Amino acid sequence: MRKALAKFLRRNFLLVVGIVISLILIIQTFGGAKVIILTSQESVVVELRENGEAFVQEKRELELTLGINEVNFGWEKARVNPDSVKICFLEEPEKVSILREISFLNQVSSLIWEIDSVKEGKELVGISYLLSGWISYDQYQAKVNEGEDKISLEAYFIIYNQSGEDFRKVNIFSEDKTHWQTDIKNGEGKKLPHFKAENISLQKIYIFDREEWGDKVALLYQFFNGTDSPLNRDFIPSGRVRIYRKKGEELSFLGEDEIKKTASNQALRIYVGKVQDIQIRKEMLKFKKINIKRNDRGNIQVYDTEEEYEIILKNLKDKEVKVEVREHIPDSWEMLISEPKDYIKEDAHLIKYEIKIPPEEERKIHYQITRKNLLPHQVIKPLIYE
Amino acid sequence: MDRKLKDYLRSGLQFGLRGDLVEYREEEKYQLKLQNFLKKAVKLKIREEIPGEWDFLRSNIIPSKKEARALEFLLNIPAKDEKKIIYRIGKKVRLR
Repeated sequence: MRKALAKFLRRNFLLVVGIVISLILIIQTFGGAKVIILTSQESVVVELRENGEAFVQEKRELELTLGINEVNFGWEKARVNPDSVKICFLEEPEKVSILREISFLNQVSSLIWEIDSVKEGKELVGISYLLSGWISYDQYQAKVNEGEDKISLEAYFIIYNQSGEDFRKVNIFSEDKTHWQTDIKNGEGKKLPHFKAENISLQKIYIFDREEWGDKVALLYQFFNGTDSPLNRDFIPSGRVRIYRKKGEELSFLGEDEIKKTASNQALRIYVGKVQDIQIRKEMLKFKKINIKRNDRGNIQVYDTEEEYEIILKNLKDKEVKVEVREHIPDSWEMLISEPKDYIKEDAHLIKYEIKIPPEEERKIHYQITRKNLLPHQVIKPLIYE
Repeated sequence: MDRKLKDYLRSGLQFGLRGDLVEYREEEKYQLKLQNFLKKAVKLKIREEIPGEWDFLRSNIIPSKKEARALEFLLNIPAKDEKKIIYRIGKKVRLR
């Protein structure tokens, strides 16, 4: 036994000396300090951020002694960002100061604060840190009246705690500073009522946009978030919306869409579905490549096009409708003829017509464009889909 | 911020001795719409990173900085207000 020990010491001499020196240093470091146990949380605030992280602020009590106190703060399985942990003194900060903060490479889920106190007794401390593992989003229920001119919107805040920490009577704040007090354990989800607005004026918007909704006219509900609306919030968070229509006492499900984050005094548009009673037909009247330039080997280098289209809209409804017709025109182009003349150029590759169609009538859009200096490797398709 | 390419034009075609297209020019007009939803005025620095070979043509607000790969604009937006920056650049595209 002795021989074995002597052999071990000979082989691990440096390691043993290192351990002994470390022990001496630790004893010297903490020799005079009193170890203080943190009391349970007095109150906890969890501010949720968009990236799945939360800023947590806890209030706890410390029973301090005169001189050096040592406070151990550990978080075991909780997903705390160790660099973010901070402590501050809330009652008599002038009498208490942090001498050192000691963290350990081999034990990243705890740290020690060495505190010098000139007071004896209780001190309220604030401990804050960033805690990841949160999933939170809004979910909406929209109910439209039978006349489809009013809408009510109910928002729920969905929160999942995967942070590794259990919370009791926690004060949760969402991005828009709404506050709830609830219990939420690790691995638990909650659906919390967020906000509600009723009798919001609603407009029905009909849009034809082949790239977004295919070959049919789409119906969207439009309503405002702003000072003149029952829906008046700094912003409406993004989230999935389920749309229902009231028919007497019953509700019928119309569809689902995503609400985009919408600021104050902005319109919200939600897609309801495609309509059958506004028909649309587009015809290509001309598509011709002109001004073709070739190199000496006969390969096309550049060309222009001449294109002419007609869009026929038919309203089968018994009331007037306004349809927004969006035409996507890629590449470098110029409008030659447009009937109606007043179209809106939304951007370099999108134009928009707003067409009013009386009941059971039809209207036409007719336009002629030239696309210029097109390159042969680009796939230039006619703007037609039939 | 809402950023849109408002105009796009391909022009300035250059051909080589054997009729190959060797160079062309692209003119682009951008519109940045910046809305301040806060209840106080804000000062903003907007940096537009623009890759490739290009030259600045004009803008409604004079850029505070012009670099080889970026333009910078400084803007004050009053509370609950909006401002637009419109600028035009020309790009040279060499094929061979």
